[in-house]
Amino acid sequence: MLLELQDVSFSYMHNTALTRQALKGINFILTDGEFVGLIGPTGSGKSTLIQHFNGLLSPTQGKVLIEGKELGREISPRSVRKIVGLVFQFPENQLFAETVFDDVAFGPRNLGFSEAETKREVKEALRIVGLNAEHFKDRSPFSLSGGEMRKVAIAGVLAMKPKILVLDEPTAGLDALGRQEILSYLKYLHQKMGLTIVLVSHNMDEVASLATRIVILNEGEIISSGEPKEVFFEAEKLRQVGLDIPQSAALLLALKEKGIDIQTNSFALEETKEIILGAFR
Amino acid sequence: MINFADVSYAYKKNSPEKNPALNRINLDISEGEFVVFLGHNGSGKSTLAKLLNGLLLPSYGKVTIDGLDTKNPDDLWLIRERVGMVFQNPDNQIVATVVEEDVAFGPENLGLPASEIRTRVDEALATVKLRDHARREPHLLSGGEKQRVAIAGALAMRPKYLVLDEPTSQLDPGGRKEIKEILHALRARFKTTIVYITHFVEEAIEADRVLLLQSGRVTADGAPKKILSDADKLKKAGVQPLPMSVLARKLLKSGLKLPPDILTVEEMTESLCSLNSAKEIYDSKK
Repeated sequence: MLLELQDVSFSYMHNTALTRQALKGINFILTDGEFVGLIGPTGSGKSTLIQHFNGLLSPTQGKVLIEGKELGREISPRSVRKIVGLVFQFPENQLFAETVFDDVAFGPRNLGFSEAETKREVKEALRIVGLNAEHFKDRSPFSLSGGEMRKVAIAGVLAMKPKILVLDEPTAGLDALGRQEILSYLKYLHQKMGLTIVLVSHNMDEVASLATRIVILNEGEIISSGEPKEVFFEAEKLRQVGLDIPQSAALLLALKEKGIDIQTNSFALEETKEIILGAFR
Repeated sequence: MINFADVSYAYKKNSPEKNPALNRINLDISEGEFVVFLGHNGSGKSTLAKLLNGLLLPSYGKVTIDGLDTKNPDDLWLIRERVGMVFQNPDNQIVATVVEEDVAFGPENLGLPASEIRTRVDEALATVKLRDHARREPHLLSGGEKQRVAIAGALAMRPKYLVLDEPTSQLDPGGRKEIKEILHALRARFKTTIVYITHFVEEAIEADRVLLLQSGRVTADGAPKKILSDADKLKKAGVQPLPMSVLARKLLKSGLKLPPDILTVEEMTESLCSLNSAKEIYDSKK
């Protein structure tokens, strides 16, 4: 397995009067080729959890293993960053270089890529996020639109060639078109490039269409983990922690509650349409 | 009343006719209305928000708040007392190192007595359900909590008009619901006029009125039922139609007799159930 968390707990400002426990005894295994949707209400510990994946935070208790090696003991956080690429919320706030090229090249150069390798990876990363390298490479990242800036920031992580890509709310604040674009290249990275992906999101419909597994976090604990079909139909559990289920799932459950004999294992719109036609025509 | 009279705004002043961010907008917003502006990134919706309290001044035309012209420097502070603003990113709006001090920033600047400031801060924090967090440091709050601090800061000014520019883009559904409830409570209690800017169609369902913005122009203006069920127009404006609205169209095309303006899961459930009971009556008569 690629990444494993063993009984990980984490407290902010540990050993002070202000201590606050953000993670409680997390056990989590990420296997090669998975696409995990990590969901949970605000303050549930999602961002804290993913910062353990590449050693930005170290557990107060428990262990993080990357490819079987214990992070901090058998493998350094620095080497882990070659394996785990982390895209933060609003990553465009972290752009800093004078040109798009230098910004995207910052990561690979730091990891010791040769200039030729760096050039190749920068070009490839920009291509994946849908930016023409020739057109964009010499421009200032600060002259770009918000959506383009976000793409450049994501390209900066992709250029480091991570095996695991972790993204914290990559579509937050984007409109429908911007969201669609990001989701389509995540799909490409997962299916065509074989990356293992962890997507943190609030948007159930978004996660439902992509993830092979859903993990739900609440108050620092994993309360549910499984295939989207299983997890999304635990409607009560999700609602209790303030999360919505995809609308199609909500509809089928509501119809069932009304006494209509109907299947309730779909959350894709087209599938739902067929189920409803079957029951009502 | 808020009035836009033939308002255009261009960011590049020397070429005002080339791609203005807003293009000849005419509209009135009445007191007590809950108005939603819907549009995709770059449609001009944030520009419109900034024109409402004189953060930007029209390149052409006039914006007035209760008859006060935003271009008149003498009226600007009166306007800003009336028009409260909440922006997309709370980090850019939080100034203090303690939550309640941040909320007190606005009323302190109004020169109010300490007891009045105390009352307003407590009330604003209670409204956004952050009373327990009054003494915490804002940077240790989650994104959603920070956004609620920003809203409390605006509420403490007791504005007549509250303008919110994509306030929920970082919140989970629970957080969004809370903001929605807060806004409803505000309207009920203080009759605050709400101007809400978003690209999430679901946030427009309960508005009194929805305006669709596309390339700096208003392309539709009317009741939510009318505007939000027009999937083609929404898509043209780069806005994602509601899943239930899309499903209703698909089912209509396949021959189910459903109303064309279904927006929510509740409406869909109800329509399908009444369809079902009609079918049962029909079947039993056969």
